[in-house]
Amino acid sequence: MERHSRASILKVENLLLATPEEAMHDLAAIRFKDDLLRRVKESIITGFIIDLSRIDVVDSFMGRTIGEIAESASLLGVEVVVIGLRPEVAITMIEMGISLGEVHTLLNLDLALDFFRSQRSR
Amino acid sequence: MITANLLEKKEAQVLETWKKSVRALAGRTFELMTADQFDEQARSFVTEFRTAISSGNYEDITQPEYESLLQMLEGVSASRAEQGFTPKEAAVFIMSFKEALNTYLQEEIKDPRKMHAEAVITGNLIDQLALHTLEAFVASREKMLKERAMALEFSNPMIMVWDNLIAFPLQGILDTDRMGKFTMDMLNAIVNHQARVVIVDLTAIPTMDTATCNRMIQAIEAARLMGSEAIITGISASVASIIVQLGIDLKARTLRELREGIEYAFKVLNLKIIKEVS
Repeated sequence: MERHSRASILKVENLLLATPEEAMHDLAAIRFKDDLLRRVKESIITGFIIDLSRIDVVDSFMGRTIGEIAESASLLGVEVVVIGLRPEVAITMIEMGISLGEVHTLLNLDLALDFFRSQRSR
Repeated sequence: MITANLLEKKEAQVLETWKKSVRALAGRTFELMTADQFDEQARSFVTEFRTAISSGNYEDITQPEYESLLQMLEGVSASRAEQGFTPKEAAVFIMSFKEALNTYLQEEIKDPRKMHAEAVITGNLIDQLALHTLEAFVASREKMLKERAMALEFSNPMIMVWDNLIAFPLQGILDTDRMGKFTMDMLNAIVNHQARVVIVDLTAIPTMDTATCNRMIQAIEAARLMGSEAIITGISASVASIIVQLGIDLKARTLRELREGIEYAFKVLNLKIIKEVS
């Protein structure tokens, strides 16, 4: 069994940019969450950017996992921003009742970086 | 069989008389379609008609021998609906065939009693065909009008107001189908234009039902998930009271007018409108 989720996780300054490669089944979603949270401990991370632009299906479990990542991250003092959600994914998530209420969602990486920059300067 | 034989023998003359009579009763026919088109339709009608009555059945047009004739008439009706014929002009086509046919039946049958009998049965038959044609014409026309209305209603024009700011001035009757289409149009436009703010202007929306309102909320929420803020402007008093009566929370910033929406959006985008002092 794969130990890691199929997601690239890059570190930029003190942010982590995570890009899941494809639709995640439940186990992969959990692994993705664990990977991300473990990386927080490794270095000083102030924020996560989760780029969902490669994902064309989000099921309720995946939606909930993203919510959980945001919640656990905020306990660790890390803020989470989701970017690149596709229209068809966004509308299915809403229809399924996943609203990602706790998570900031932004259009693109530029805006996400701006967001963290303005957080820092505060 | 008399009529069938007559049509075979005098097809050209019947066609000519028929055409004259159509010209007299509905002259616009030849403005809406070419004479060649008319000739072709008239000729194929006569051929199909002759084949159908050769079976000896002059009464029941639901029988299989009339199938291809009826199909042909439906095709003619559909094309006439598209060419912009009025119902009368469409009906004249078959009705005046009766006249033309009777002229030649009078020449052909010398015995007035026999002539009368033949004219009555073919007349009744042609009346039935004319009614069928008219019905098909009306059906095609209705379908066409509906399609046009749909095409009009289903288009959602987008206005690129500024960088990262788009607006949708909606108008007409919003139902769930149209709302669904609009949702996808809006979300795709958000991606294509990287719109951080979307203004949905409802000035020209007279009313909305619960299902449509719920769809609207979904569209707004989906936009938020994508990182874009949807704001609503120009809600009319009647729509506002409907929304309140339905107890619906639109979950979006609502502003009175488009200009206020733009003002707000500029604030979000860190833009400022400054009057130049000259």
